[in-house]
Amino acid sequence: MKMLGLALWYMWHTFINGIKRAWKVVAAMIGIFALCLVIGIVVGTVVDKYVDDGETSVSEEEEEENHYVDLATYVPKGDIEFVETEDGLYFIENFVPHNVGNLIISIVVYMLALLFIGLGIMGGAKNGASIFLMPDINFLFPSPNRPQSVLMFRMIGQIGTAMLGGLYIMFQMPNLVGNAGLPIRAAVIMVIAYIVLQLVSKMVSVFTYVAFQNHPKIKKFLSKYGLFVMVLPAIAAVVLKYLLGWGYFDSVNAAFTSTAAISVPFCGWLTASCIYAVEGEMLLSIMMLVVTLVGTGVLMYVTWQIPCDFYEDALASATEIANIQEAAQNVAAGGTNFGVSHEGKADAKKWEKRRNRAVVFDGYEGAKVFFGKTMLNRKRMHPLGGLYSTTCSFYLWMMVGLVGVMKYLANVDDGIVIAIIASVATLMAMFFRSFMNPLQAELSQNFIYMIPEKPSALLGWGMLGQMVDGAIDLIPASIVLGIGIGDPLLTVLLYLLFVSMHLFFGMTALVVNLVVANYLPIYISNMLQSLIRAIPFLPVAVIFIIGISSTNYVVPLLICIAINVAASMLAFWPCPYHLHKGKR
Amino acid sequence: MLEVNHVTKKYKKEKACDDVTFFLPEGGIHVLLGPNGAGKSTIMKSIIGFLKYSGEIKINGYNNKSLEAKKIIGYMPEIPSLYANLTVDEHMEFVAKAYRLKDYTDYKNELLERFELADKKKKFGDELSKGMQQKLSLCCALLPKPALLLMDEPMIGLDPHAIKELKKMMHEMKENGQSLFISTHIIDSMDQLWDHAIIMQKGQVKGNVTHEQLQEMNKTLEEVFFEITEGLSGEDMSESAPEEENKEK
Repeated sequence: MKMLGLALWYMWHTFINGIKRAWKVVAAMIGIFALCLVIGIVVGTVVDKYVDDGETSVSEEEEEENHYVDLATYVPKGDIEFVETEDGLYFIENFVPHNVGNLIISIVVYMLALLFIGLGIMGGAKNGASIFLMPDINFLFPSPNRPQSVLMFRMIGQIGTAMLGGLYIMFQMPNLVGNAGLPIRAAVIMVIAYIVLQLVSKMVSVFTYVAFQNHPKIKKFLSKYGLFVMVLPAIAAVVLKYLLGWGYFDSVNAAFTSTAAISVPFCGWLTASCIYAVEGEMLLSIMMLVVTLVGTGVLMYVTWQIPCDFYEDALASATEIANIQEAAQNVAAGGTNFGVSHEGKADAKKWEKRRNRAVVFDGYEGAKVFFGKTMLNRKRMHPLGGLYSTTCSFYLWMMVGLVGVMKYLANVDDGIVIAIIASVATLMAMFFRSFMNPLQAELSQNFIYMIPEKPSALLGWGMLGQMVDGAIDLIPASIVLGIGIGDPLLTVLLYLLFVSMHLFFGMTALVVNLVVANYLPIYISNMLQSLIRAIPFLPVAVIFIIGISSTNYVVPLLICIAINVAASMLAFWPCPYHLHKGKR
Repeated sequence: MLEVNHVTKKYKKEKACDDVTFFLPEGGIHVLLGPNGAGKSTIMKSIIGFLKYSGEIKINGYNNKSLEAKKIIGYMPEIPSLYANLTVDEHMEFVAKAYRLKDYTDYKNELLERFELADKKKKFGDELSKGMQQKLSLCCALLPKPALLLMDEPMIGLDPHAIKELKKMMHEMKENGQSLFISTHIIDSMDQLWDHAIIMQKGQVKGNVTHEQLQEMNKTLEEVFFEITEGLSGEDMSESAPEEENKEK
């Protein structure tokens, strides 16, 4: 309990001091938020008018009956057709479930939960001790406290940070209520569920590290395949039910909304909470949230009870982080690894091989060296001549999963539907993956300030390198998307949209890290980036949805790309001046 | 006070410490010397409890990783590392809370005054220069009044006034019966201060001498250090006189 008090004391002082130091930034954030609100209201009003004009009227009776039913026993009201197969099984064609909206919500929430928990498992198995900072090593590790108590101190800090960082999701409430048509109560529950999911993900990460600290083989497996361990059972359940003759929607329903599915800890409970909220069953919804929180508490208690000796791992990890931070603040460490030693790590041999591959800077002079460095490091670090990076792999397999499920499991024939869902998923993934300053490595070195080139050229070539890097990563996934939607022109336009969005996200991360003081707590930096991104993101999202749903999507998509590029240039505009001013 | 028994620490196949054994009696200033890569930091971190090792380390009879031992021991790292968003005063408060100290305010203010940090109480950790960070790190290590204080290169980065205050503090701690175990490269900095020296090389203890022994031999610590580490002397100085006396007790 004393350590809980210390953790809360530390979090409170860190938070308050962060606000005090960055009050100008906080004031700017409030101003940007107000601007976003105005833009959102204007855009929302325009969209509402557009949607109202296009919508067919829905009978009041049908609106009142918008409650969740079990699809396995549902008797459809529309046209149905029974078909007898060779095996004597029956399934229903031309069936439009009455509550398809609820089913979509269930799938999205469930998959999101599986994704975050899976990533938590992978993170915990890979570097669970990396939650500790060097000051924790110096002050807390020698202090007369149990290692579990020290772990609890950091866990509470991590939980607080994760929950605060998840707060930006509340900016999506107008979208959930206005555009998705959810009741306000459901939108509030979803925001709370998202924040709780951040908490659960962190706890799972720490539990994974502590539970398997003495099992290196299991840790290695989970660090690579933790996500698949979570996601594959859900997909297998769908496939199994389908093979048993349940039909598409029944199979999906069984995997994500059945009693068994919502009984799965955390994923099922959070999904149930959201669905109950949509259905108006607020007591049940809140109860499921409470169950999730209790479950998280139990997980925390169990973690705390496991004997652990993580000090050595934490020391190594914190030293590495401290080295990177010192290199970012002071003397150039040189090379691409900031002086970080990979000695003793499982992949040390891999790093040694990569280090020994010669990098030749021919053709890159002046500011172009920053572009060349990114390209040559890509070639050095990744297979297939640098074409297939870890990021590339992530987007590729995500797209394979999405297109595969939609085309071959859900039997979606409409390329536009596939394009919308796959694009939204890709853009969301890009959004969450892009909060780090893309030029962190370059700006941590002193020589960027010493090279006799214009600041705009230095930063411009650096960002161009990052953009090309991202563009290469998106190629395989875009090819898969193209196969799925069957429209080459649309595929090219979507690819350009992804690249322009990648550029814009990178620029916002650059401008926040370069222009604003680097002492901002990470969650405030992320919230500020989210706010800045929201300004052009809202109109782009609307134009994208409207454009792609219409027959002529070329002009709207080109407008979206143009907005992204213009916003990127605007975000870039103050950066050279701040580079010229020098380090803070 | 401190017993290190057959401690071996390996990183992969390389031994950073190889069967290290020594004893530190209660009280006095004990110095750990050695060239780069001798294993000084490794043994210090093993004593604090940061590392896994084979062998045994006891502090006043308690296992070094036990809570009883941690109540006695304090640590000042070589490279200070502070919380960016806590002020100087808050760092001291943080340590006081972590160690569950009572009635520490006067001593806290005295330490800040002695090391010229009193007027910087409201400065954040990342706003301090390296020297000030080192001073704050020292104040945090001294605040719990540990019976055994481990210091890794304590004088690096300190200005002359701070070095003078630190040496004065070391004398006071010695007078109070507290023990200090200091790892350093700079032999001159510990001249006139030390009571007992342990010299390490390539992960092993090569020398273990007291001040009195050196005076009898009519040698300086520096001379002995170079004799041992450069192999000029054939004499085996790895046995410790205080160690034997302590065992008999």
